[in-house]
Amino acid sequence: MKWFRKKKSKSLGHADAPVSIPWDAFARSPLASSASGRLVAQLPPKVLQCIFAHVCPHARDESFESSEGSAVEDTCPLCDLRDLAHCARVSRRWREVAGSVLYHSIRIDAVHYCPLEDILAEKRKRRTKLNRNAEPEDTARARLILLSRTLREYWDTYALRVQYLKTPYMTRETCKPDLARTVAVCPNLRYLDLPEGFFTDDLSCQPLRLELQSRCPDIRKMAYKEGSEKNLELLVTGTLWRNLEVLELSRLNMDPSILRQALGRLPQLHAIKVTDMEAFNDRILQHNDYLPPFPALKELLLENVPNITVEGMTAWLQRRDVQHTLKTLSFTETGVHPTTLKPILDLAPILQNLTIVESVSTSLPAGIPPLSSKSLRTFHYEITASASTSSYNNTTSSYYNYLTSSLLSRGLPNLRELYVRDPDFPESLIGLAPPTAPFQSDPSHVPQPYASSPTQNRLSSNNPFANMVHARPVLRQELEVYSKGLDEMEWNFSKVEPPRGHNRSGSASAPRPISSYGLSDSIAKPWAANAGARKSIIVGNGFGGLLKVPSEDGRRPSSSAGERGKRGSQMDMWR
Amino acid sequence: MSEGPAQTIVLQSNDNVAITVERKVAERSMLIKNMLEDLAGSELDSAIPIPNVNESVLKKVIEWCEHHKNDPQTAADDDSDSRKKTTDIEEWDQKFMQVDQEMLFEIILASNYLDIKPLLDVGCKTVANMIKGKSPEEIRKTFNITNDFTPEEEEQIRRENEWAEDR
Repeated sequence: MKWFRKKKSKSLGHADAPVSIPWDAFARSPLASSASGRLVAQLPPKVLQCIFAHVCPHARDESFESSEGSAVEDTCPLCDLRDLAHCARVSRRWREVAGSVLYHSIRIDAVHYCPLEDILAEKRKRRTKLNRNAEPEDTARARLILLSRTLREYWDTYALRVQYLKTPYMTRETCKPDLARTVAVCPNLRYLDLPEGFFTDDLSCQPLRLELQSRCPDIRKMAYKEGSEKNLELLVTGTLWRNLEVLELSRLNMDPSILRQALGRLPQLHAIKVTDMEAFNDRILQHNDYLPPFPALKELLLENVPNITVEGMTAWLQRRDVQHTLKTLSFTETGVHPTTLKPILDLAPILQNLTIVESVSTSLPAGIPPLSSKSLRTFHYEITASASTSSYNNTTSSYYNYLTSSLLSRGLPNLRELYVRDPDFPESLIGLAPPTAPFQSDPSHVPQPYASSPTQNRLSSNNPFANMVHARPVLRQELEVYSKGLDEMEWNFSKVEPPRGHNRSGSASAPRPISSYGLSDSIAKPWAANAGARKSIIVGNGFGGLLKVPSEDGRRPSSSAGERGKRGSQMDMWR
Repeated sequence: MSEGPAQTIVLQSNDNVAITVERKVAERSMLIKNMLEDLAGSELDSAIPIPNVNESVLKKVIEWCEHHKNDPQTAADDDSDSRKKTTDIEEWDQKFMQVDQEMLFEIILASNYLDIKPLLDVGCKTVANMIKGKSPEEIRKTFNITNDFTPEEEEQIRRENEWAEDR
């Protein structure tokens, strides 16, 4: 008897289990009345759009990031998409507005990132009744084919609205013909996730390339990698993709003058990323009477570009238009060294983000003027010792000392975030000296930490040591320092606050603080939000010493790399 | 700047009720803020009429502005950030939005008219959360919307949006 009941309920549960997800937060929604019905009918399109955009947040996604890179963290995109599609089926008015939201930025995902995926996966298995061992349907591909059908049918309405089309990696690699058919009817497309072969001029991507070149003149981001020099030359004619804004160049082997001509044809260009290119040299940046100028960019990212040096950079930065646009610069293993950063900074008055990543084998020569920039907010200064140097030679410390002295001389007053590859760097900034012996009470005789700047009334005006004490460099700004040792994977976060001018007590001897907060229980749970994160805040202890305390919110330090990692680990649960 | 403008202003709802509010509170509304800026210099002695909003709704909107008067004004192009935080609503706002549907849509319409973007967002989020996970028929029922499609049209739309359905 019992056995029967169990079976029955089980089969019932499978047969018509309502496929709905637990949105119980707002399960008890207020009841509608005739008055509210009238109001709903009156909602202006702008408000309806706003509502639909909140139903399906990724429909507003206008980034030129791939499907993987632009995922929103806390929602299930496929559920949002379905809900928005349901809105379109409510009434004529809603259909109109929902259509404009639904077909603006299209995103197809392979799976639901929510418990619904289990139920649907089970259903998919059942769908093929006759062939039980058949491969379950590739849902992303099926969606793409259906989307293509809809867009081709509505080529004069929905297809014209499509500006962004994002598909998962596997889909864009395996469904190139479907992609080509889809983009063929989308003349206003700005960004599209493309298969890797597209950038290297792979033959399998030729149809897709031809469709994109002939049907989508408004593409905004493109990458050219090894082998596609010929395609880049097509830009020189000035008829192809004139609105390109973002360009990635990698391993291209081509004449710099042709490259420059191609870039000169792109008036909207504002960001370029160059990786592994020897041909990209100073000449590209320098003035030349016969060639269009190198564009004034907001963002220039260089990686493994050994032939770009400070000469090329300063020649480019001499131009006024460049000075007024450049906001982000990144040098990773280029010909620009920490020693030559200063002239570049001096010529970039609105530069906000600067990255320099380099492995060094020799120490920094003495006598280099400190860095100074009033606009800089984020600074990645990641200097490591190159493999060839002996691990006993401490070559990198001279580079970090240079950074410390730049900071303490107040050359970077608006800097908020600093990333360094030296785990002891935050300590060097606050200058934690060895504990002071309690009997040495005269501050002028002891090498005091910078942080213990006495207040004005502590020393009378005729004190001969007053000037000396005040001349000691003090960090005046609040700074978030992310440091990482050579063998560490995650950034460690420290917040360095300016000293608050406490009256010193002679017996202040704070122990050297060590923070292991948050590391104990999270190791077993790598997906937990704050796994492996170690955040401490350094505060004054009231006696002039400093104390590291575990921070209140155990948030993971949010470098861009860290953010991505977090998102990935959360989603992996469902992949 | 600090000496000139009065600290309070009077708003008049469409049912002729005058409500006195702190200027800073009223300036959460970009409409009023821009209007006051345009009037800067001239004496502001009469009430500002808000023709599209009745007293109870205006009071409710002002209650929200009071609570949020010290929020930093977000930049208009700060869309990327709002995209990250999707469905969660601040606890106070959640309580604030626990009203009947009529009031909810009145608030949304008023915040749209008065141009209070954060309040409009909270209202729209609340409605969006009511939509989520529902079938078209359930959505119609929830908001008392009449189905004006013919069966053929319904089938056509189902087909055109099939790519977005669960599968």
